[in-house]
Amino acid sequence: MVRLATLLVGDPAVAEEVVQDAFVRLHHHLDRTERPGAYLRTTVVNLCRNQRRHQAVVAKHPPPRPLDAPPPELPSELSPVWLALDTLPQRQRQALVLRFYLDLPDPEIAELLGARPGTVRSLISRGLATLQEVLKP
Amino acid sequence: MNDHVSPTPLEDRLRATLAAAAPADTGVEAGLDDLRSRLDGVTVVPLRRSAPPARGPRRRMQLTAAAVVMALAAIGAGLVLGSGGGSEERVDADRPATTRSVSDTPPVRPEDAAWYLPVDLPPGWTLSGISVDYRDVEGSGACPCRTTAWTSPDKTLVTMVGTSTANATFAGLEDLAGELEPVALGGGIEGRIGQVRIPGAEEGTGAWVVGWIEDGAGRSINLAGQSKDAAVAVAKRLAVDLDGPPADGWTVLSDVTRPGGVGSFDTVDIGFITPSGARVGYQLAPSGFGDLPFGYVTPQRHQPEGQGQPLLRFDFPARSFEEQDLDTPAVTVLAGTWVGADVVLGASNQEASDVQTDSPAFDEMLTLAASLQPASAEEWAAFLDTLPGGQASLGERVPRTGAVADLVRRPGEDLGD
Repeated sequence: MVRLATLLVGDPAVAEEVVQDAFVRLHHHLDRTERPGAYLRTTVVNLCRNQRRHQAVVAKHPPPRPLDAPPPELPSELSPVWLALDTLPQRQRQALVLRFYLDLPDPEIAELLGARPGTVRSLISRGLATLQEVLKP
Repeated sequence: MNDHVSPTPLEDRLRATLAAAAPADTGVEAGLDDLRSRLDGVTVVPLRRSAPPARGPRRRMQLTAAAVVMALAAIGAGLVLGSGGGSEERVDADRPATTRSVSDTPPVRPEDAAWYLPVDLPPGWTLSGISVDYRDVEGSGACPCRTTAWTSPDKTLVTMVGTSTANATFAGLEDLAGELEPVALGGGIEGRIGQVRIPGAEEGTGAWVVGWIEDGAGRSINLAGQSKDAAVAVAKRLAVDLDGPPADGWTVLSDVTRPGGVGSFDTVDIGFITPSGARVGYQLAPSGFGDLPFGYVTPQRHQPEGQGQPLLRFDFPARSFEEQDLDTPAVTVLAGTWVGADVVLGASNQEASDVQTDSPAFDEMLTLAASLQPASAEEWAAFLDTLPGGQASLGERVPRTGAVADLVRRPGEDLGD
């Protein structure tokens, strides 16, 4: 779950906090869910979305931030992809991570993102198109 | 699994990138070890405030704090209270005796309760962070909505939810219970009843849910550990009188109304690292929007000495979710609807995501609960000003002024993607 959160927010430290927070929230809802694993995943995705919103606001008014996480060390052919992923709108990024990291089907991605399956296909298609454009030599 | 027969080169590259970028080791534990090593030899001085005087002219609070050191750690902007001037304790001359009973605590006036801050925490507590969480309101059109919980003399719990519209009443119950049966509740009201298996509980442990629609509004009750006939009897009684009680001798545990017209809201989390090394914190939410964990566990009223406002203690048993291969240990949560805000306290330690009730961290959570006292907007701002770097050191979304009650937004006022 921490790996998923890291891919969604881009910062391992923030991801750890998000997942811990999600576990605490899970206890508040244990009596109301038959699928705690799915609830946990949904909570993580939602909390990551909040974090990205926060990061977007901070980016507009940047105080000194000594704690920006360095990008992961990746092979040279993959590093541009990671940087390009960071330029995507957050829902496109989320959809791509859930598809290509977790291999989730459209209906499950739709449920996590609070969208329709058709919207998920559109998010993935547009996300890939943007990556293709950004990665053009 | 997906629509493509074979992946494109870009998709292969993206998949490889995500697999390579996903961390094997987050490095957070190393960051925590670094933080602990920095604390070695650092005297931690707790927040100290003068206690409120007897009710009368508006009191003036003086917030004193030791020098604060910004911790540079992988866990984020940690804030450590350190000994600034060599003295381990700063005493406010106006501070009364440290032990305060409930009877000594003056009533809270709404204008004084913009926030809640801990008072007189013992040595060894470290403020670990203040953060804000953005929350969407699902189904905001169904509110104002009211949740009432009653308990019987033998600790049976029934909760009732009343919404302003009825659109999702039966659909919500079907999500929980599956097929519903019709049931007559008297007075021409036709309800529906279903049975719910309590998640993670022993086989055969269930609850009954009954829903009905009255004057265009939705009502539903949830009753665990009782018979179907008992659930119908409760529903019949509440259909006649929504204010209850559901049966003679039952008492109200909680009665919360969530206002309508809210599209999203923020909650503020204030976290600490305790002397035992656990993480203990509390969350403030606008009234009606707190995460009060009502479900199938009957809470107990909990009134720590020095805490003038009510708390409920939820003791969740250990659960085992076979299908998900997930076990959760017993955990306790404290929650309350206070003047100006809803408050929830929780804890976790470094090894697990929750704290068991016989651990030191549990007692520390009770200590924090007892310490929280109402603070004005000025006192909240003054507290933030004492941090190194002042308010600029905090995330943009951490509120600097106003009150917890201001953390709501109307639909359309959301931040947006």
